[in-house]
Amino acid sequence: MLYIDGHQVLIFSQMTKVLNIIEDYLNFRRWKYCRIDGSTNIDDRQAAMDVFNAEKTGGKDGTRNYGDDRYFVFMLSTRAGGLGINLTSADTCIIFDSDWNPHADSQAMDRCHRLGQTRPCAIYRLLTSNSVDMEMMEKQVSKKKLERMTIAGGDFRKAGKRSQGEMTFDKLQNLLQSDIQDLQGRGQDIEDIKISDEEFEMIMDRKRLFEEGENAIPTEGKMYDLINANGGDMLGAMTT
Amino acid sequence: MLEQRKNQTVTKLHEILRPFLLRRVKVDVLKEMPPKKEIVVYSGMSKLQLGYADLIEKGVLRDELLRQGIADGKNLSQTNKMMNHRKNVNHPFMFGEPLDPATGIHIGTTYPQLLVRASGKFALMDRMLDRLHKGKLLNRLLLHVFFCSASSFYSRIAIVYMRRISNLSLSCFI
Repeated sequence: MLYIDGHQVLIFSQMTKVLNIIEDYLNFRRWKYCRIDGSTNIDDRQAAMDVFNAEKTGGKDGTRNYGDDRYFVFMLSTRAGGLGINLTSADTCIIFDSDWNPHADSQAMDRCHRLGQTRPCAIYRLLTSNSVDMEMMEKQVSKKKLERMTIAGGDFRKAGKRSQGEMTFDKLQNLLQSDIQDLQGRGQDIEDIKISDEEFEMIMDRKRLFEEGENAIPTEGKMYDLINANGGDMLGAMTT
Repeated sequence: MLEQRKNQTVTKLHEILRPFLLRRVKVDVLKEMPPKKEIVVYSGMSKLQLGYADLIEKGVLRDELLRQGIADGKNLSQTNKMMNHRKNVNHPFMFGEPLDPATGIHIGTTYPQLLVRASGKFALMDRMLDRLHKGKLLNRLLLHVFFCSASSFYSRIAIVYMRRISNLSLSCFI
């Protein structure tokens, strides 16, 4: 059977005012949505989560609801909705604006990528080129580097296991390698202002995105970057 | 020499931390977890955003907002440029939404397209959500035909159609 996507999306922002604007927009598109921010009380939170996750079995015969009437979007403020809650019905996450703290964002995307998730997850982080967004991303990257050097590089996965050999310069360099290459040179040209249809389709088509090996999409596009999620694996390979 | 010292410092740090730290990563614990991919997508700025960015740098955004009749502008603090830039790249209407001169209500209510076009990131998000909601066009077409086929006549057409599309998709995807 050919399959339809039936995606459900989490949208995170730092600012509730941004969520207000997105809410106006969603009303205009007539898409069903839920929202959690700092002012949402506990009962409403739970109700919103339940109704959103119910789409997992909301279709005919208790299958996923692929219809246009599904709850399509869940809006959350990163700090209030980023911790603890379970939204595994969603398989897509859009980080509208990044936090200064990289782990606030990782926590946020783990609302969908957690136990109970059955589909591959795509996380889209939106950045405006040549702007303060880039500055914030650079801060995130430098914080992550420090974390990698101190924690991930130590390979603390087994209790009390002795470190295998010293940290060499090469290892250190590997750890300090950035997820995103040359953040500065992005979108300098006027033509780069919009991602091309080709690249857009490449990153939006879930099947294509998760293609491995030869057919895998390039990690660096003109207007997108794949984040190196294999940081852990890289370290594993290094210590053995 | 300096490099070597630096390496030793990191090794030493790990030795000190080792007795106190145990770190479990998701891939180690949940083997059957579906994969995750993070993609950074870049967008440009709208004309309005570029204009606002300029005004923020010059420190005259508040005056300009008031001149344009955006009343929310009067509470704007211009000391924290960083914050104002952050608001601006998210959506310029964060500083107050302009009013439609014809009706006197918020311009985004009358022209929702403007709400989208005013911000580069917003326009990108609109494109993404549209794509995510629809799914793949080919598949949708097929399912539409499939579910709409109420009578036997139509269902026969639908089956032929399905076969045709699945041939097509085979040649497309393989």
